[in-house]
Amino acid sequence: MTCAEIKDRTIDYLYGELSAGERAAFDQHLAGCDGCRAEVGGLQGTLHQARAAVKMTDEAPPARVRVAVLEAARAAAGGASVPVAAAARAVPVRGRTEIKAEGGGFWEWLKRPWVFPLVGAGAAAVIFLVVGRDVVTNPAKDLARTMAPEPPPAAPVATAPAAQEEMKPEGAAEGEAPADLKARPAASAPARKGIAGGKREQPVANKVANVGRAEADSERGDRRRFAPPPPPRVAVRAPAAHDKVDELLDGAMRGADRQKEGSGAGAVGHLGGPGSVATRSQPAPAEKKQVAGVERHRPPQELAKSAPAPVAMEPRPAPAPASPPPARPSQGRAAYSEDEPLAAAAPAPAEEVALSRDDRAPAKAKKAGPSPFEEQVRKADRLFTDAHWGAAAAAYRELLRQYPQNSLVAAWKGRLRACEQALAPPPAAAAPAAASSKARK
Amino acid sequence: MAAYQKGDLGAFAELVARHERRLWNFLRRFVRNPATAEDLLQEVFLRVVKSAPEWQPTAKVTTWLYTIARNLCTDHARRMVSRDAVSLDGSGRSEDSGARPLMDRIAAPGLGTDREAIGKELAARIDVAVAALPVEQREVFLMREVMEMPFAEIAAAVGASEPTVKSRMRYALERLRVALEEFRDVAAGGAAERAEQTS
Repeated sequence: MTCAEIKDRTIDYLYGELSAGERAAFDQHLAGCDGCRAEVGGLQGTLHQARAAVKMTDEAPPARVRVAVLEAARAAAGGASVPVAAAARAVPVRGRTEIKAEGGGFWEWLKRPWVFPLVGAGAAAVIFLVVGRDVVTNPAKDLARTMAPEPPPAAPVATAPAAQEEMKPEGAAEGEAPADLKARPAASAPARKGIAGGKREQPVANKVANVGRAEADSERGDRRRFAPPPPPRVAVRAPAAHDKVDELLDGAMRGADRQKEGSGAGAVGHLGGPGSVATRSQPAPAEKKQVAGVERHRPPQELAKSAPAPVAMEPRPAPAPASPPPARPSQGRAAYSEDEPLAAAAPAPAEEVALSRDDRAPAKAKKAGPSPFEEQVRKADRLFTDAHWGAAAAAYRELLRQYPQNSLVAAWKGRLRACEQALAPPPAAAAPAAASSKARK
Repeated sequence: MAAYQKGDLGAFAELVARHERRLWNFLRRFVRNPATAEDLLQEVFLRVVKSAPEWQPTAKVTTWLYTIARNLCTDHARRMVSRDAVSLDGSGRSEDSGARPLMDRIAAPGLGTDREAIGKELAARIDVAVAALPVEQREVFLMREVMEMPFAEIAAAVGASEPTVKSRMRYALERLRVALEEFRDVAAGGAAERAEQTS
């Protein structure tokens, strides 16, 4: 072999793709040519180092990618539509750990364009919580005293929604609000997104009145409760089961984009404290009830769940709902049967935060809390999104065992399968690697 | 893939589980931006979902999948080049630069005496050097070393002959060697300085 031939065949030599005869000739040339030996040796060392570096920096992809693509595939197959709550709730993980792991680091994270606006929003929310508390609650207290008669002293503090309905005074009808509340700037009003079937949006003053009554109800029971603002709805919308694959894919892509947005929100929410910013994919139970039902008086528990969003996140007084469109009120819960709890797979972070914060009303919190079934589903979803595959698999198995007739069974089975695959990657996955390394040798 | 074509979602999940890691490491090394890499990874599998009905079992799934990834990467690289030309003063806006100025990438900020730290630093340097390779060489290097594709498959994926692919691999290794030698020089200089300071 000549030096030119050696140069041409170096890659074949390094990757073991020379025949035995060629290899012998190659080695023979290297033994007698210092230049070629140094050249080939240098490239071989570089290749070994590069290979080691590649292995050292090898990492697993974010779990939410798998969740999203499996969700898209399921939707394209026309299977049961499952909320992408998992994907949305997995997003904050990126904010906590993955950004640094991905090589960005804190400062790189800080350079992202959504960071400053959302940090500002979080700060505004905190200020709203701290400073605005008295501003919001005290007028409501006064309002309640002027508008509603005192409740009977024996009335329980934490009442079910039906009981609250009974307690509602006749004079406190929807839409009534005193002039001072109506005159309050809309920017400071709780901009709850109304998605009621018959009455989509309430005037801002009505919303203020609702909140005022809710606060008044709480005050009457000698309970001052202030619910933190719910998370802004920037999360992925659950894809519905359609026949057209293209539409679904477009939807999935939009969902992925929203997931990215949610990523930022989640990260800042983590920094900004609980309740400031969070994500979710489905309306909270209170909203679901409102979707199906008629405009009615809502007890404080419901108001707590659909409490005002941070002002900075909702610059317009009455923004359009980002979650399931009001025109199709049943879309968001297509996967649920009527006799199941509506919040089965729709996490309500605001509710959780509200319940955990209200340590002065444990009975109330207990009544407003999710059912064991909901807890179980949430737990399984949480484990799944946190990539605790073993525990998630066990949780889904338990759900499948306990609720074999539930309409979410298909989704649970899918996730269980994903968990099992994550736990035990198929042996075929290792086969190409082994074959390739063998080929190199 | 054939099973997924028949509607077996489990087969698709298996496909994802089998290939996502390699694809992810290929994509994030190629584009040097985790968020973009995540988008591209999703896009790869969404294209699989979209193309599943038309898929013909003539091509090897691995080659097909990795070709999609490679095409997405090259499209992305082309867009980046047209949108944001690489600047030597290191504006840090180019994704291929890893959002770090050129001087930061050349000069070692600090060389730890810990062996493991040096190993990590070296790995990081190699990552940066790989990212700085021309696109044609980078894709060949990553397809071979990260996705572990044979040269014949790489040639099919990039639409070049096998000798051309091997030639690009050789150029890639030569560039990496130069980059590593520079790093070693810097590391040796730093070690000598520390030795002088301690003595």
